[in-house]
Amino acid sequence: MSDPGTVPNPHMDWTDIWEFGSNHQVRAALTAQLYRYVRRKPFQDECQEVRDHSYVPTFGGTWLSPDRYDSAAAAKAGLALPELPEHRIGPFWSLDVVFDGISLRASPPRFGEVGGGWELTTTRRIPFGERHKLT
Amino acid sequence: MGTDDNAPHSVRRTAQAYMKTSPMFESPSEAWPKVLPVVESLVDDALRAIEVRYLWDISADEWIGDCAALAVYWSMPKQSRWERVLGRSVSFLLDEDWVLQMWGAVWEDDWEKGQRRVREVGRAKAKTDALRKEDIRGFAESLSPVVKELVSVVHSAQLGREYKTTSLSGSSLEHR
Repeated sequence: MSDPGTVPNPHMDWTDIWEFGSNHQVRAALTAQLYRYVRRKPFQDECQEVRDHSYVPTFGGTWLSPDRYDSAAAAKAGLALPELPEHRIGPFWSLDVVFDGISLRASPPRFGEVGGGWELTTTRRIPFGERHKLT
Repeated sequence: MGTDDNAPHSVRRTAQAYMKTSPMFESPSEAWPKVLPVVESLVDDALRAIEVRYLWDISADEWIGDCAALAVYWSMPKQSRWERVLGRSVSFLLDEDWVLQMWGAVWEDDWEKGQRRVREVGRAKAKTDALRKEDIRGFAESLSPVVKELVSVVHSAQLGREYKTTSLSGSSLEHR
């Protein structure tokens, strides 16, 4: 791997994943559970729910994180979100997600927040996930 | 006996106070696809004006967290890069009240210590009256000097002593 920050193609088997054993972050990213943090009500969500109960993004990419936050303020600060999220959706098994957008990275500081949480994006459909109201 | 020119279906109906032009955009989210290229172009111009080019690893994210938002980064530190790099970002949010909010930040990631140091170096707000009147050009002209100033301030800023720190812990990933 030339760039340890890059998440490899998820279409690989467990033998491939085992070879990333020395790279904790890449291995963990492949085996992690992912969450979405959304601001709006389900019917105004940025993703459309399609017939088989998966989601497809309406605008460009869907933002996901392997970090689980229970409070809206912590999610906003850690993921440097522009506004407080209202819901956490997930978990999604990361092997069910095609990583074709922003590779796994620490959220850069933006919107007056420090960031530092892990984030990635996908433009492909993601599985249906449970919705939890954030406090 | 004359016709009533103000009857609802009369072609000669005169303008009334209540006959306002319907707004171009119902909500900031609806306006954002039109605003986004304007803001991106202004940031691009501002970066070019201070001679920041693609050598600086410029990147941008849109629609962050399902909001009408844009963030542009340059010289962003990477985990694979061990030398110290001061990352810089400007971010924009068109909020629900039609105010365009802007932030600027500089930061440095130390992956050996697992620590990030961040300093917010600029914050601004811009009115969007022109935008709501469908005047995209007027909106761009009024916003241009604000963006230019913000980008310039961010580019010349240093971390100094007044910064916030946060951890870049990978532990939540490693132990999952």
